[in-house]
Amino acid sequence: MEQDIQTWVNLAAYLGGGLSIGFGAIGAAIGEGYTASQANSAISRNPALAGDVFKSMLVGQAIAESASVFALVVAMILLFSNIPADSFVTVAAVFAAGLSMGFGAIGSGVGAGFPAGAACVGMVRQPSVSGKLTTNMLIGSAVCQTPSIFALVVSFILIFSDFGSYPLWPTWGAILGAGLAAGLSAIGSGIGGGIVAGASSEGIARQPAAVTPVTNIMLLGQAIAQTPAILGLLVAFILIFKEFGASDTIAPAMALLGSGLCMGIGGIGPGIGEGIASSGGVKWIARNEKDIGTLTRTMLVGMAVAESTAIYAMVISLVLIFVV
Amino acid sequence: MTAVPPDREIQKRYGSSAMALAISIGLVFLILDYKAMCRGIVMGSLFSTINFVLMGETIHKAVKRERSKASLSAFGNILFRYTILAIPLYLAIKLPRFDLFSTIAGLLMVQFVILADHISHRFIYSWRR
Repeated sequence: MEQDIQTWVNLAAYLGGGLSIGFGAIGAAIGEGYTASQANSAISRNPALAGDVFKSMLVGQAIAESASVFALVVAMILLFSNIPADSFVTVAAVFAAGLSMGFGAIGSGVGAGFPAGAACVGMVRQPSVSGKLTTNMLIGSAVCQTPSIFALVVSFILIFSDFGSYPLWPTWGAILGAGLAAGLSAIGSGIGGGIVAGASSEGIARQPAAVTPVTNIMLLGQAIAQTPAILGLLVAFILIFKEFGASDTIAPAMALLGSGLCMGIGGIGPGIGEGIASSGGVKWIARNEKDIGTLTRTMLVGMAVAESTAIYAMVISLVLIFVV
Repeated sequence: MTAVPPDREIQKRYGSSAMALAISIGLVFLILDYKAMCRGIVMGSLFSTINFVLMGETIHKAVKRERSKASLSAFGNILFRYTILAIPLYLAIKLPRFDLFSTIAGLLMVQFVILADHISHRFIYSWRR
């Protein structure tokens, strides 16, 4: 029997490892490709600044690659470490770790490409503020990586925790749900944060004098756009750390799996929507700094409304955990 | 004397800073008798720097080639770079001489140095002003 568990754990770890780097590579590749396309567009407008644009592209791509490096780390751990196989719950845990990191890296990789691309174009428009643009791009790209760090944390908890004493039914559903909640909800927040940061770089290039309010509003917008990922992380933690009593039926496991899916999928749209709402605020504050109060208020109300669907998803998710 | 292209200059600057920082942190670990962590962070940073240098070189080579060859070479180079990044992780997982978490931290050292450099410049600049 011990051998059987080990075989299944290995199988799940290989599958999880493949999914981790497979999905994880998608986002970084799109983000890096977008940056390169914008860099080409910028160079064609002013070939004399090719060196500076190239430098900015390289630095932006290095940051955009971080999420896929996290995915590579999880994949390598799953493929080559000796994971103790003391329970069938571990099978679900290692597979969920790969899912969490794979999905979690998509949004951050894509998102980090937007500020890097906008900085390359902006640099050609306003060469005198290239330093400020690069700093703004780097801060924006770094914040975009936060949802993938949440997914990495959940993956590590799933890989390194001992689930030996947990009952297989319904814990496997909770564990898989945790991976899905953290991974899927990170997609929207990563992309949304990137959209805001891209608008910020564009705004600074149009109106360099507005660098301080634009950067501050960008950080505010990114912080709010991260909320669905934080809700996903919260649901994932509840699913991992709450002890569920043993069950003979399939329903509780499905309810817990459904809870993770609900929060994960439900977090994608709000993250992107909040990013779009915030990008409008950042973009127009750069052009019309004197109306910053009204613009920020409108932006925050718009973001709050976009956020509501993530809250509905979280409520249903909690109902599935605690009521059903 | 030939002028150094800006991207080479930036690779040199961030690569050397990442290695210097890793060695400094490694020395602290060594003094505290965490030898595996010292080895891990230095090895991770070394491969992070190699990856960053290769990233720039890849772009230079791809730009000079025909479109079809450039796509193929870019894809091959990405595979090569990820294989390079996988080596320290494999060693850290398999050999207890290297600490896994400090190796992971080392792999992100170039990114950390880039961020720290720009953010510190921004704050120093605004403070002086």
